[in-house]
Amino acid sequence: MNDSQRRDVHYKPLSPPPARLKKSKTLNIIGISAGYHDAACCLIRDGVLISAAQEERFSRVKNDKSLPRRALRYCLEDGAIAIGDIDCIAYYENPTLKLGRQIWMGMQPNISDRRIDMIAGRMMSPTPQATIRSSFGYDGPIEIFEHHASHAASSFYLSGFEEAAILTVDGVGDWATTTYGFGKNAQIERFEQVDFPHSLGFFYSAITAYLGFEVNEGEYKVMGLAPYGKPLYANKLRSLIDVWPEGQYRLNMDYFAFLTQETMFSEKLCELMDHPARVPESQLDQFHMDVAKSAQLVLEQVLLEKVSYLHSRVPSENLCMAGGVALNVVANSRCLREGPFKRLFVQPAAGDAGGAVGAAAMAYVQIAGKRLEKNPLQHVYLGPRNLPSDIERLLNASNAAFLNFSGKESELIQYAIDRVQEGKVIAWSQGRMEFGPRSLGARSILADPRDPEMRDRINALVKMREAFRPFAPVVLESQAHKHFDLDHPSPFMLETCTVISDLALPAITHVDGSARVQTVNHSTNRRLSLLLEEFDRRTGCPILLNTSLNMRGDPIACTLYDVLMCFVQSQIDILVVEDFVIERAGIPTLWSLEALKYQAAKAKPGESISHSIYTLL
Amino acid sequence: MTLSFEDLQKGFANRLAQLASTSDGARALSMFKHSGLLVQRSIEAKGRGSALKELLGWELPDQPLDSDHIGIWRRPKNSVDFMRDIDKRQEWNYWANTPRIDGKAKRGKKRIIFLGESVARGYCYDPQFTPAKVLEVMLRSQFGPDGIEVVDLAQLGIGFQVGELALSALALEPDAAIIFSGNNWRPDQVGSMDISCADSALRQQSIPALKKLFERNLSEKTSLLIQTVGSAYEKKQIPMLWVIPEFNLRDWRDPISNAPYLPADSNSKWSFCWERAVICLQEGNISEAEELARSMIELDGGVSSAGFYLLADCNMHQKNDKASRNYLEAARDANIWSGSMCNLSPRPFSISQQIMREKAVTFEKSGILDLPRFFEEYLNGDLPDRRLFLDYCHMTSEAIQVSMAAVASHITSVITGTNLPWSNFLDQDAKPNRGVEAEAMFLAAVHNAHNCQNYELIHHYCSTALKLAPELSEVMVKFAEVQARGISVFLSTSGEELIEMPWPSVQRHLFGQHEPQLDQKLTGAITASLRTIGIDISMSLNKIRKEARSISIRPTNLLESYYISSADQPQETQWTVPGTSPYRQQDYYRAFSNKSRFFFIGDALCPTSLVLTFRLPNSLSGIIEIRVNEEYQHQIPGDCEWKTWDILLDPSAIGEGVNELTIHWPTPTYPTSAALHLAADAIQQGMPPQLYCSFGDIHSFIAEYQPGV
Repeated sequence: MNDSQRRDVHYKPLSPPPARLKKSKTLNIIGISAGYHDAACCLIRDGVLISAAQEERFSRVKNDKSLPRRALRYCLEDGAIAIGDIDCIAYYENPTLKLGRQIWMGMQPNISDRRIDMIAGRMMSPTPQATIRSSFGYDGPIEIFEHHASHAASSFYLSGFEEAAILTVDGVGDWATTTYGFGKNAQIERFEQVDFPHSLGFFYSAITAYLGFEVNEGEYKVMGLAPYGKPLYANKLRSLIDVWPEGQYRLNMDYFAFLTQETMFSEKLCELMDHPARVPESQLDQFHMDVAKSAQLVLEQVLLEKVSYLHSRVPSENLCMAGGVALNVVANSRCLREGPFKRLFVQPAAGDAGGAVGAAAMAYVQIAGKRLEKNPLQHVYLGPRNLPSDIERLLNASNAAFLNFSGKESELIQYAIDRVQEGKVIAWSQGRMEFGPRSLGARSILADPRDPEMRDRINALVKMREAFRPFAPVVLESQAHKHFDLDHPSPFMLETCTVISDLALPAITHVDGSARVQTVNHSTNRRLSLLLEEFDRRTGCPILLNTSLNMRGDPIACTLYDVLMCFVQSQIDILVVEDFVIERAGIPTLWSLEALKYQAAKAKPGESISHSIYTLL
Repeated sequence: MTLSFEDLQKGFANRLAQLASTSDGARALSMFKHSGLLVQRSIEAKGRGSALKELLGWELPDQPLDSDHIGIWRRPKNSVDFMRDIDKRQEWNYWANTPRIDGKAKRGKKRIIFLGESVARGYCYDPQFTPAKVLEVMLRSQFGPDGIEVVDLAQLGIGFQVGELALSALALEPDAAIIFSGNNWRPDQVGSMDISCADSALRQQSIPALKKLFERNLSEKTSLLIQTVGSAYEKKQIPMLWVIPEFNLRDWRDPISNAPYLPADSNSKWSFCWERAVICLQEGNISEAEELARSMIELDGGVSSAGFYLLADCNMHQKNDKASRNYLEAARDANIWSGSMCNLSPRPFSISQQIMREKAVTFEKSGILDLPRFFEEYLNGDLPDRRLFLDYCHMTSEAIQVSMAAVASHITSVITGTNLPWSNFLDQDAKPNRGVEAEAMFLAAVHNAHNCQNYELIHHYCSTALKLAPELSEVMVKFAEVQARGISVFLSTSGEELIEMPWPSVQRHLFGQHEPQLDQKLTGAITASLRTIGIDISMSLNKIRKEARSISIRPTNLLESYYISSADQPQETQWTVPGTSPYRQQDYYRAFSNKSRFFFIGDALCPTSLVLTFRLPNSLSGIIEIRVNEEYQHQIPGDCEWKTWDILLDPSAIGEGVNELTIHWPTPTYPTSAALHLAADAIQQGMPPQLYCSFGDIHSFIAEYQPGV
């Protein structure tokens, strides 16, 4: 109503009831990871992990490291609490320890002026605590936990194990790069650690960089490339790591440059390999595949040795793993298969994003004196959802041609499976977004895994990724054992196993006959389970290809707008978003202009992380 | 146990980290750094190249004449001509639509290069009517149709980079160059300047001293730019003309903000004077208003525009245009130090104008066109206003024509030696057609609305547009619909219809970075203007708003930028602006005056509740007052801790469509000394300083429908 239209109302002012003070009666703990890569925020309410999301999903800056202000707002809204209802904010690493490590890096000989400037800048920068207070206006308690303690807690407290050995392995956080410990009930203890600069994560990242992939992003690619190669260079690469007794190891720093330069490896590595580093985006040849295989093998060997050592100190049947290296599903599977532990739990957001959950879990234990409820973690659908009413309103206001299946779920499933059987590729956005790096059927691209052309097709339509990288299957939990060498649920896609199916599944089977499996059931993802059941009923195949709903270089889609823009920019055939369907031909012409605007608005320097070197500072 | 060398070093590093993690430790380190003792910071010691880089953000090219890049144009290998660079296609829209520039002018043809910013681009008229095109038409009257060409190198948004562009443009072998720039010349942000001085200024509670730092910085940057470009052109004996921009002094008003922290608890006195002076002015008590305004300036040391605006108004009331001009210029310049904090519009600061006047003429081949003086003469002493400006600095077609006539006169003189009066160059062919003019007027209305200008001005541009071209009404209707629905223009049916309409300037300027806004004032002005030609969209707009945005559909976040953008409180709403502002100080709403405005869409008499989380950070306790559509609703106690309140509104106060909700904050206790020490710490850490006192903070604010009530 504008001034000129305002109706002329002169009611006698009534006295509305007095305003009522609103105060949450629950124990609310916010966990935060930030400043490094994959900033994230979570809410643990009365011991239950209610919400969690990475900042990148909101800011659209891949691996966004900035303070997760949008993710915090989401968590507060989702938990229906206000800033004053937060009982504690738990921060996932110790900034003073981290600064000590950074200062030590600055004391190295031959360090560049730029890096000295950066380190000096860090010494004068506000602490994360100060930033949290000034940015969020938060004035309650802030608990600080060490980086690897957060990793350890994120795994053990969500594992469902009453006791377990705990191994954390990543690039670096504050000082530690690898830790050994154990958990029992609400207690976690660390008994040994390996300190920076010696780091298995950096070993793998250095080879990632040597192979011409982006550090902090391309490690998956090395893992995917490995099965194409032979471990011809394993001995050479093994010489980069001096494995010491107990939990210790040392990197041979002659081969690594990250301590003083803006690159991961030194020229000496090229000399050792007798081959220059691969230029990014250039041809991959057998040498690169053999190096990838060798690096993967060395990582697995060292991990196996250290897992055995850990078992010798903590003779449990259970192992919990976390840290970026724990996202190496091939190594995880080998540790479980060949190692001394019977059960393995890897927290699905095993990287730094998961540190937010670990820190919050530790704060909860400190305050409540007990572990989290709803343990083990059932699912990671902890992010925002798109409301069907909002979708309908937007589509009605547009020129898009769409189908509305509201109240007709069975018809929607039939429709989607009809299209899958026609060989169509489906963008599938349903319910709450996943927390962690994997799309697990909430923001996914789905297709027929039996189609031999499907991998190339999806790459051409949307993913634009290297042809050697496999796509993953999602399978009905009840039927998984018939098709994969898997005797337990794998809800988080964190293990590889051999494909044993009678069906030919070329689109999801890696060159070595393995697959990175996600299992689903009705309790965790009902609609996806229904979809798989229908596909199984019609074809005898309870499996679909499942990959993340994003364009290359983008974070996974979050909001309806992101989902639409991903659909418009790609060549995906069909979008199913909640109860609504848009086919490619139904996209209005001008939406492509919106997609251009969406792309142009993305670049935000300063929030993204470096991919030439692990985010050391 | 024997510790390794590495362990010993790590221990040292850890101890240093512990020290640096204390506030005193971090402060001492920072002070060492900014004292220059640890880092060589002297510009003189680094030479001119570094000074350019540090002050202006660019360096001298090795061989300007051989530059292969000029703006978005690139000279392919083995080519003499420049082609638009496909790698820079995202920038093309900021420049002239010129696919190719010949490497050299054709034989016998004079080449004039025309550089500048959005004013020189012809913002709102471009691409149909631009200063460069006008200038070319005018010059051809003297040089013949094939005797001269004007190469349009103006770029939207260019600042001090215009110098780098000017040097690279030497490769075009021009016969003369015009630089029409200065509105985007700004001082650095406080963190980039002499931090030792800024630190002391703040700790001694002197924002005026801080302001002087900004002025010095801008002065250095402007001088360096003119010196660098002037000498390069002088060396090549190429005549230059610097056009000094003017500002819309009479019609443009910066949104008034409170004074920043003032010494000796002067803020309360300042606020009293301000409130009283406004009343005096309204009541016609000019002498008291004047006296109060002078007191304000004395208290704030000239760092706020409020006192100057009041004095200007007093003098305008007394028809004293000369004095008004001085005060309006002072008001324009007052916030030079807080530009980024207050989201100040582009403008030529007096200090840059003066340096252009003094420096540019020190080169034999350089001249100036002093638009402030030229326009004053053109307007017979009147203040520059909507006759010449579309907004703060972008010119109307009339101003473009007369200013380009003056440029043409100067260029003719330096090339031919013939002195002709500028009026000889005014040309009927150099006027935009009616439709183009109407589009510019409508775009001006949008731009003014989005920059918090008053309803009368917005309505003036809307109604002028419709008078010029009633057929533009279809654009206005669809635009209002798009805003009412609040989804991106490219996604909506109304947007599609709008884009398909044949209005090139609208297409170029309206949609590029369009973010939907409630636009309460603008849609009001559009509705009122349309009504004068028999079109009533009030019902349909209301229907769209209710369908898309009513609280009865879903709860409304009152802090969402769509709604809060209509509050005309840019300082308060900056944190909601999409993207990352270096001056994003906090991730919640902060009120910098005693009244905050919010909006929601409702149905008449609908039961409505609010959920408000707020605090009074600078009050031990206080009472806030909530009103809806100016009707009193509640008083709620608050203190410095966040508290959340459920608030039911009186349904009889809820109107149909857009409802305005206001919070009236209690007067804070100004923590000047502590706040300015914190601000000094912040700038040492490279963080934005908080220089204005918060009256109240809101972390979340939701309005929802309560059907059960």
